[in-house]
Amino acid sequence: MHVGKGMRSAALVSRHGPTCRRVAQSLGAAGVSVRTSQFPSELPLDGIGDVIALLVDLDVSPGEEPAVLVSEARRGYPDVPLMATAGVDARTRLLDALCEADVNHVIPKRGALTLPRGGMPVLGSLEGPDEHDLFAAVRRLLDGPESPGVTPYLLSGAPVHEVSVRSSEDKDRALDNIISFGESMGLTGEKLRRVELAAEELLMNALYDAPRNADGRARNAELDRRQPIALGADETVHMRYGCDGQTLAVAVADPFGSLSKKAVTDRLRKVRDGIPKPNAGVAGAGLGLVMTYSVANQLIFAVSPGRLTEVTAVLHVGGSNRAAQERGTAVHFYVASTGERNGGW
Amino acid sequence: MVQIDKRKSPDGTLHVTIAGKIDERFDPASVLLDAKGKVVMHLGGVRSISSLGVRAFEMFVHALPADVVLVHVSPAIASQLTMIPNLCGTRTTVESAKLPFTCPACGAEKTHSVPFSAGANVEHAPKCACGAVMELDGLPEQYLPM
Repeated sequence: MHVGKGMRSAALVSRHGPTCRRVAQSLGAAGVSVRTSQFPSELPLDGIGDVIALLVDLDVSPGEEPAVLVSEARRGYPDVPLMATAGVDARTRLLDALCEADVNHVIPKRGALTLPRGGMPVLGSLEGPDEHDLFAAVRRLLDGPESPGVTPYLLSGAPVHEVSVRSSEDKDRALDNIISFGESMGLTGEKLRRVELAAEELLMNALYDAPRNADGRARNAELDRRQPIALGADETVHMRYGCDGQTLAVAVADPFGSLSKKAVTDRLRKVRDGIPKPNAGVAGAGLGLVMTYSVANQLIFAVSPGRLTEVTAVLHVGGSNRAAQERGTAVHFYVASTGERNGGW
Repeated sequence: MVQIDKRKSPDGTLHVTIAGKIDERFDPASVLLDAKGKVVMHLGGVRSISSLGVRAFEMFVHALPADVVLVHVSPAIASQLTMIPNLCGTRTTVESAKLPFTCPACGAEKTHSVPFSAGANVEHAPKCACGAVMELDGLPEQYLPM
């Protein structure tokens, strides 16, 4: 299909039928046409309109390196946001892509963490990436890295609740609110724990790790996290949360805009490489982010440097706890402009 | 809020039951005061643990003077032990984990203690009242060593 100038499109490298179908469906619904090739060398370089994303399927043939596939695909599209999906050895491949390449969006395929006999999923048992996840990711690429809170991740009409947080006391109140909200929906056990954990770690990050001095340095680097904290009047953190019955999302936005992709990937490498024993030091060792990653089905970072950081955790609460864990964790990173500062988490 | 109960058995072992949420306010000073020998910690009631709670718990376990046995660890604790295998050091043995199970036949749910070892979710899966063998409601690698 030829896409005219001004039309939005995306390029996809994949040899997996269900992935091609799901990507075409989700992006098509978002108003983006998809040009698919089995190999990077076959990707069309022009005549496909305004390219808003490049998607690479990391389920490669034996002997092929996912990283090579990414860099070859990147060569043709050096400036567009790069997304990766995988089903085989999904967690490692996606974390590799996020941490070691300039991939800003990783989405596991459905069924990726369902280990059949033998321990490794096979391509035939995999579905493509989650359509709703893809749709929301592409819509945010089109709309820009603002602070939409949780609405892109919930069915339209789901009520959204908001709590302002400026102190440790506020944080406890906010946590009580979201726990009561979960309990009111009948969430118990692991589902409720996942919600509480995600909300708490996002709030702790916003209160303790995000604040910066005028010179851009972490204000609370030496502060014992057991000490109560209070932010300034113009430094309010906002927690927004809601649920549509299937999906619960919680977003925490701070006005510091200090989080960088490097800070995130430095911590997520620990998911892949193993976590050393926590240090007794006062500064976070990144365990909070690793724990949030382990309980969330999507983690979305939107940063406008020096102005705003919003981190959103999306958790599937509709089915069983196992079904939610089998979905794995997608990670999305949106940055308003360049300017990496090392901080947060 | 965390609750800590202590009981000393005739052989001198200190049995400690911790329930609730372990976070930055976790204060085990009273246990450290009483612990002179082996400590058996019952953790089935720990519903949640934050990243600061993990750090506080790790420091607590390492400050105990002798061997530590963790029994019936809750999913919150089990998931941290699998994520950070050396969290509690070499003097600590994790005996069992109290994990969520569901029945594939009738949908019933229950928590059940299994040994903290690979494959225990299958080998020691409970039977449902309907007769079916129950399944772990979660990925085994999240709660048990692989």
